[in-house]
Amino acid sequence: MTEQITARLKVPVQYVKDPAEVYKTVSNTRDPGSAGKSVLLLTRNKGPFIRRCPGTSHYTCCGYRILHIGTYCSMDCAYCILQAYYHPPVLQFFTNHEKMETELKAFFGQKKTGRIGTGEFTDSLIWEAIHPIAGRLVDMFSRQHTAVLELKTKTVLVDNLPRSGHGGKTILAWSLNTERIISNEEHGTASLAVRIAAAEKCQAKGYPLAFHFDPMLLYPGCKQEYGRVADMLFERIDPENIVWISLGSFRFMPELKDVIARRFPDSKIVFSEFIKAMDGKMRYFKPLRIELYRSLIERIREKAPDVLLYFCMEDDEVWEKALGFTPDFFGGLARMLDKSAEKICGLYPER
Amino acid sequence: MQAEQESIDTALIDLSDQKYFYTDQQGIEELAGSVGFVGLISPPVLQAKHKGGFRVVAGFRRVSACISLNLEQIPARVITAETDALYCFQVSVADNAATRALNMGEQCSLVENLHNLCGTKEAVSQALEPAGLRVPPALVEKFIRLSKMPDEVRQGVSGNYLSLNTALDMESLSRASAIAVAGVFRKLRPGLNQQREILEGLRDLAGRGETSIDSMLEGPEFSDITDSYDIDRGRRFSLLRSLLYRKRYPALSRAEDAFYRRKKNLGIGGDMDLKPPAYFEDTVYTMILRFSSARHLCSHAEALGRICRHPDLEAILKREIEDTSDLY
Repeated sequence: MTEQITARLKVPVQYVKDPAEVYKTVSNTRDPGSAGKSVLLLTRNKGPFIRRCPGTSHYTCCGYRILHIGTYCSMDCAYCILQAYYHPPVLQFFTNHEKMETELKAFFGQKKTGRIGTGEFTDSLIWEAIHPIAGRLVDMFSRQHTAVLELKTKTVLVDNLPRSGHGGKTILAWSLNTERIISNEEHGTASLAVRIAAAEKCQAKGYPLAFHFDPMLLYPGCKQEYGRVADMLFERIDPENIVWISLGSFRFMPELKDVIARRFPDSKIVFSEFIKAMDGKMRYFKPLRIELYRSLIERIREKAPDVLLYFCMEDDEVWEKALGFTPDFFGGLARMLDKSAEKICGLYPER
Repeated sequence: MQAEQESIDTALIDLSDQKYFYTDQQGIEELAGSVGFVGLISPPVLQAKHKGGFRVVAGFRRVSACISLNLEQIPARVITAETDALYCFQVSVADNAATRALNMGEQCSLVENLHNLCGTKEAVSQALEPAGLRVPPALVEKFIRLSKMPDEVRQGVSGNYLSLNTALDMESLSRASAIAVAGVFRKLRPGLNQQREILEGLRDLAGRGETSIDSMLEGPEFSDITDSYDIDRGRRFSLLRSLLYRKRYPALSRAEDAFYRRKKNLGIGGDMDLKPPAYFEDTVYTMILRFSSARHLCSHAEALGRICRHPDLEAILKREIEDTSDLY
């Protein structure tokens, strides 16, 4: 696989005995966040391919699993947590797919609903340009009925996805943001209109869809602009095909502030009204988050009253005040999402 | 040191030649008084110049004091025109080290001069050590950075009202903003943590892109506080801190104001206190009761009963959202 990828990329290749050599080289640069994007490390994943989402303490998590195909991203969002999460952040793609497939087969054997995605530690679809992996995963998931795969992206690299035979077991998901934020903060990503057009293409191929308004950012006029994003979305996408929509506001480890200020001097996103939250991360003052969520939820509900909305890493007070209920009422957040996946993606785990 | 002690005509000493000048020139009048009383105990070090006359290597203040006393001749140790400049600096440092510690600003000027001569921070550090001044290479680097900053910032470091690290943290500011911040520190003389707090607050506010730090500080909202010399410095600092906080955290400030207003209505005070969760993020409040007897505790119980029925407690616990529509 390594030879195939290097032949395709036509870039200078260097073989290293130990990935630590690459980490050291990147760490010693003035800007590891940028340097980590200029090197592609093809290596073996020595740890598990399937991991629990790290989540956070004090806030409600969804019990998601991560399929760890690679790290970091070739796009360059100012707010990206991966800049501070990895030390250093390095664009790396894991090549030992036989191990990944073995782990996936064991995962499929679990007698419970599984939700897993490749888009937490990297973008799910950037790798299609160097080594198409999504098609193989779509195929694997289509042959079982206990788990869904979520491919989460800010790209539009969906043309290689199978037109049929996916069995509805792969959810195509897009991160959405306002056009202003995409233009100013999400460098190198597809525009909003193009993302929605790609989602529409996938809808036409029968794929279930999901959308993530995360991170939502506060700025003057943001409520109106997030509302317009919802309007654009539902002009093209049928809510019946949406498995879930998540909402989350910008939150970050305190050390990310300096990284953003240094790497993106024109960005203003770290200068808002942040407080140190219960999990030690910086978050917008809670009433501001609730107000922002409420306004978007209201707009989404106008067009899609039945679509499953959930919060990523918020507490019961936010749920209650912005959505009108807490996850416990429906058996917990994980159960809510499982049920939606079972219904829309046709899962039937043996219990 | 190869130097002969000679009696030198003060008219031949060129004080405008500041090749080896890096010290503050304060207290010359007092020094002149002392020289007038007991004479010059420690002669300055001069270097002969190729074109005639002398430049000062060590003892600028002493020479100035003697000139102010109209002394025509003074004793001095004279080194030759051919003496290496680095060695001259080392003599000067050693001369100073024997009498007093150089302040940060003086060390900064010295390091800047030596760096031009030696080229590397390690070489500067090594050159200073035998002269009795220990400046590790990392500190040399900091002084070199400081030397490139505006005079107002350097003066702040010399004057001990601006820490070296805070000064270096101001490198990313525009020149005008760095000067404005140094001006505020000169007026308010905040401690180290307070300097950091002010700088971070100003930087965050300016980061929103609405205005620059210097414009902000020159505006009446800030300058009315910093320039109110009829108010003592500590109070002015408190007012500045409060203004910065309210501007940085407008919604949180409103929530805090509402909480304390309602808490006041509850009649809580003295040996009873109600504390909100940090930044109102959690939903758990803390009630503190201090008591010294069962009867005292019973009186708290009665007060608690009254507080529990009070509409302001309900409002506090409901955490109704203050209107923030004007903010976003």
